[in-house]
Amino acid sequence: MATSRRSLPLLRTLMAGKTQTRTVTYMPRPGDGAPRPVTLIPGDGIGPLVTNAVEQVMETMHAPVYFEKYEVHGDMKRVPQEVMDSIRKNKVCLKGGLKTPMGGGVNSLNMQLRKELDLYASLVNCCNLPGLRTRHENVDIVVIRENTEGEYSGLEHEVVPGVVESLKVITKFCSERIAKYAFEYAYLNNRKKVTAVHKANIMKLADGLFLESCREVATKYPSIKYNEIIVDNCCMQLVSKPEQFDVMVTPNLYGNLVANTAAGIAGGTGVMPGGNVGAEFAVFEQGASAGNVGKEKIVEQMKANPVALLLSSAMMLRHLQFPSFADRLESAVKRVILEGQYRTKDLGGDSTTQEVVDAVIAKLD
Amino acid sequence: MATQLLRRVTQILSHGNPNPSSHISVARPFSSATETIRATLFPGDGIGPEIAESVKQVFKTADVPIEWEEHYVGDQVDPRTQSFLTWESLESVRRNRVGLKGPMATPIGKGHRSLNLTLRKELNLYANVRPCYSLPGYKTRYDDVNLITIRENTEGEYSGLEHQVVRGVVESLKIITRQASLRVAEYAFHYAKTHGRERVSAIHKANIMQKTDGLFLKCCREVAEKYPEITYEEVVIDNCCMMLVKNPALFDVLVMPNLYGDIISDLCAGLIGGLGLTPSCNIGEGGIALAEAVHGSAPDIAGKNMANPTALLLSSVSMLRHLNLHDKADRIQDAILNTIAEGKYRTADLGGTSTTTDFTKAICDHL
Repeated sequence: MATSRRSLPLLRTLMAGKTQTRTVTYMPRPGDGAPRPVTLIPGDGIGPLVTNAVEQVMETMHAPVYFEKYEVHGDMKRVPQEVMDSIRKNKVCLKGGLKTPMGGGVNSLNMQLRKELDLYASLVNCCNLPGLRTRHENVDIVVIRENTEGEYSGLEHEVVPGVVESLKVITKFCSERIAKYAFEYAYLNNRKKVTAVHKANIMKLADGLFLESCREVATKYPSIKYNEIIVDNCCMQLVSKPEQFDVMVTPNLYGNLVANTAAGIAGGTGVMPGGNVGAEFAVFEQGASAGNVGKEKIVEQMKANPVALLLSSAMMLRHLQFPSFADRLESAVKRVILEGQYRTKDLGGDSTTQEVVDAVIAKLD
Repeated sequence: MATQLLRRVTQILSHGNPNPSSHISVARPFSSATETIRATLFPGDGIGPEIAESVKQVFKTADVPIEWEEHYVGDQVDPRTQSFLTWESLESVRRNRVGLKGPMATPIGKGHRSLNLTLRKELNLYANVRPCYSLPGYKTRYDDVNLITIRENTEGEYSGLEHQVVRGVVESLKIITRQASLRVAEYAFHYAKTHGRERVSAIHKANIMQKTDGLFLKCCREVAEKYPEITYEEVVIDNCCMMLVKNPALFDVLVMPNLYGDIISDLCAGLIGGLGLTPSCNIGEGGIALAEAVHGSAPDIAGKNMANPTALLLSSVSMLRHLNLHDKADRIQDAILNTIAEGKYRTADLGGTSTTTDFTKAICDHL
């Protein structure tokens, strides 16, 4: 049966009910249980709603994390220095979305965070959640996207009135490290295939350099299959045969599109967890569309979907090496989705955020 | 120069141009249906000649007043065009103002331009239009797709301007100009109006690429003000991708710069069943329209009478619409859709066993 590898132990747990068959235990070092500080940025729009959901669930679980909350809004010029210092101290951050103003001359704060903390890999985990029916089955894709350069360099200028240029910068250094991260991720998570997404038939030098770096790294992991696909063909294949993709590594812009498409086919950006990681820091947020903070109506009615951020916080707990808390949180959320009683509007239901959170808390064991 | 363009356009629009198909150029008298129109036909390679034959047959059965001028890709580089397409072919398209192109395999090698690039640059084809609608009878996961993607075809990320700054650092230029953006926005709204569409959505990433996509959006907004009856909205590309795969019925006409257009139009083609069923039309300066089939030349099934002519047939239908022969276009389109819906005659790629000729005959019978 084609069940996702990772959800197999969880499904076993779900079906076994309260009597869990434990895996071989996780042996902590003495002192590992000391509470860890995590920077929390509620953000704009639906951000405060969903981060509040995470806080409530963590509180109920008595998870060994405590949050240092900071107010950051998308229309600020820069991320405040105290927030950056806090993240540098704690090394881990959880954030809601930061709204990026359109054409306003203010650089996106999401991008600023990524560049300053050098969070060069963005990871979005798109997989079908059991119980949530979508048009596509067997979707289990992880999109790893280069986060610092490419089309998002922010280097634009007006040549003459009416003609604007934007620079897309690709460097070997960044392409190599994202390729290394992608293959390392595949290796550590027992993934079988890495696909590089590009448009090198048109942008021969830029994407050609990206592909070269990927090919070099691929030779060091002979057990992982590697192939390349052009981005327009990739999007076409994603909507018709998504099961052929496993791990995808892409430059910045294509990664944005591919991640959103993959998230859409697997259930929407309201349920996909994701995060940004660099050599020293990690920031967890809703998987795709970090700049999308929802419509005002959803904020007023408090019907935002907390599932994505809850699953991202489970990822964060694993990153902090608290696997049992992560498992409990993840299985509670999945059980709520499976039962289908409490679902927010984007999943076809009518619940408010608080109802979903209460349901998750009730299912925690 | 852009203001001159705007002035000319507003002049033509304010005169209530009765021939909307050539809004920037001389109006062609398409009033009499008996007057034959000359059109250039590039059958192309591989399965090209077979499916071009299909089109000719269907047009003859439907009494479409079109006379074809066939041109083939040469086997020698023509120095005047620096590619395998001869100067005569290009002159023919310029003269006739309409053309139909089959799939062309670009020969690999150096010293000549790619065929598509030649056509695009020489004929100044600035907009690529792809109507995507679900074919009733060919079931995909999406049943309610009915949208048009209009993509700017000349600039943007595909300017081809790249260079290596130092070893290991490459820069690629993305260029957006007011003139090209206005041109494609004008065409998009004009198309929406003449085809009875209600909404035009501009797809962008202006929150990150503020000046470039910002300029594109500004131009779209300017044009939108001239068409108050058409709803105009702006959608960020990542939201657009997600909405397309969740609920494609939300979109009507999409207008986009080059790169996003490439990806989104192929995504939409995937929603309806692939490139083998998608029509496409390139619009050039002066009202030139070159309809084409965007699939490959499929050399492995060439000559075996197995090819699916649907893409080229639907492209020829959009060519007819451009020529304002709407009743003929509707008849042929209905015949094609009915044949596929019936399911009796289907070519191998749709899961059936018919030959190209059988499929064509079935369409002719439905006319």
